[in-house]
Amino acid sequence: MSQEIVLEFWEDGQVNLEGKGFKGQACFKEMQFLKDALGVETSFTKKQEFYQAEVKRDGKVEAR
Amino acid sequence: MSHYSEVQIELIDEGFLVAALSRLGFKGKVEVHREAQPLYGYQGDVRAQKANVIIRRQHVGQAANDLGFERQPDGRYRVWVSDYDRKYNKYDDAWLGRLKQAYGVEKAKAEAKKRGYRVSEQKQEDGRIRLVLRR
Repeated sequence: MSQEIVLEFWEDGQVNLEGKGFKGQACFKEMQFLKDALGVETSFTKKQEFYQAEVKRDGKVEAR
Repeated sequence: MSHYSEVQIELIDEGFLVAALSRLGFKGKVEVHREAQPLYGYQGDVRAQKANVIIRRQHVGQAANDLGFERQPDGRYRVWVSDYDRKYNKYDDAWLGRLKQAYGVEKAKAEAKKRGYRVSEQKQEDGRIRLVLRR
């Protein structure tokens, strides 16, 4: 599955970010630059995939 | 998929603030000053407030006052809008929200492109702006 980040900017100055196609904490790490650029994080919700193993390029599996 | 985040946008970067104001219709009408400059009222009177990013009153609306953004020591901008312009020229909290929305879109697009993402932008019927970043 390809990786993408979807941002929804609301007219009240709030933005929702959603990572798709990431495994484990890769999503958290990848989206951090956007959070740092935009402002203050007010809520954070983990999805099921957050707890799934992250498959690294060398084939090793890192348990989460 | 792995997580959702909600972020409250803060106005910090001068260049993107100017880009956001341009997006809201003030292209070519924004003054930028290293040192904060005085704001003027609708009769040309000098006000006590100063700002680094300024839209002069002739661009703001009828009988309007200057609209300004003053950089604070922590890097954030304080917004100076007169009560009159809030009420009669609609530079109210809703406008400020749309300004933050425009700022966020401009900044996120620029940061994502720097990191090699392809960015697509779509305006929704309810006013939301959706960015999809792919690589």
